Amino acid sequence: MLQEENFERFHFCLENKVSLPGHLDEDGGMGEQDNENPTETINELGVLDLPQMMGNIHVISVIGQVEGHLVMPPQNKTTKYEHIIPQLVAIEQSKDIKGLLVILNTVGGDVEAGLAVAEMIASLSKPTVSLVLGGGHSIGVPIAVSADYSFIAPTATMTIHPIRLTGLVVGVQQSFDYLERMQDRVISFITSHSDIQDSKVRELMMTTGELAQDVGTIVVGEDAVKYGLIDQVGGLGDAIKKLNELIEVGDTANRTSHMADPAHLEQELVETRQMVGDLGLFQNEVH
Amino acid sequence: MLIWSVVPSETIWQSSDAEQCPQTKVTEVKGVKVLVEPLADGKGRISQVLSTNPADFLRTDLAPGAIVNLV
Repeated sequence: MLQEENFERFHFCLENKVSLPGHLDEDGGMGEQDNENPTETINELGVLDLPQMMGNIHVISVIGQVEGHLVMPPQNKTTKYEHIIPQLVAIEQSKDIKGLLVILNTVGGDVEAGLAVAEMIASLSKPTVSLVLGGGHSIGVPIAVSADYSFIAPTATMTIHPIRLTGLVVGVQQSFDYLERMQDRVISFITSHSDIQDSKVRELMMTTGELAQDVGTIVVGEDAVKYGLIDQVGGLGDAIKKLNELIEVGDTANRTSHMADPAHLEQELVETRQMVGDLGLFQNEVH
Repeated sequence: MLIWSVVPSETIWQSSDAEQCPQTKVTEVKGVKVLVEPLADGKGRISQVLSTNPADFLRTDLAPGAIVNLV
């Protein structure tokens, strides 16, 4: 009886496009009215579903310092690699996510954490596009080039300068060798994921007169493309467009390879034969 | 541990006034990972959404500044 009343009331509300005045408890009584959060009310009633944005592109923004093995003091804005790495794993595994956009505005940070993120992005099987806005300095450079296609805003800059140790450093040959090896790792990653030459990176890194207190170069938008570091100057629209193109190309390639696969064709033939047999088609022709 | 940054190391490592920088913690609210600043009574103020889904950033109930129940 109560349920019938509820149903009628609900129907009335639907037809007259008015919202239910408070939600119903399990026993059919009126619950407390909750006007503070309309979203929650709707969710609890289960009447309407909010329009969902059906996006198949996910985004990771690398902002501030790339934080790795040591927690930086709280005045630093950081992107933590322990946040980024599980997200990348989830993106790789998800069936719904088709592409990844990486947005960079970073001042650099932990070399090993940055390289880890860059390697993860580079090895992602889904299309990836990066966009450098504002700045993609130091360890931001390998992250920017790790994507399948990279963009830089015309006003954005990338600082390429030598890696050096901070804090207490023992001035022995081993310290310098260690730095040299670390730098080689970073440079080889950059050159293998972009069109820039090894010699050019080293030249930019050791230029004097560009930076006030350091050797190195500030590469601005257009120049980054000229040196082969970044693929194209562009903005958000270009980046999304490119990502959608890459997704489409990937989809088509998948379909084609699937169709051309002999094992798959054979399987399809067997299935078709079976279906024909099941349906009893062509029986008249045989007899 | 090697830092490669355009920010001088003294700026990165200088000690800061803990009062000025609110303590935050990572938690999950309604299925979305967020950074919250814990308040009294088991509530928290959202300071950052950590999701990769752009749609999560459009949710008003998870917008930075929104008060959520942590329990």
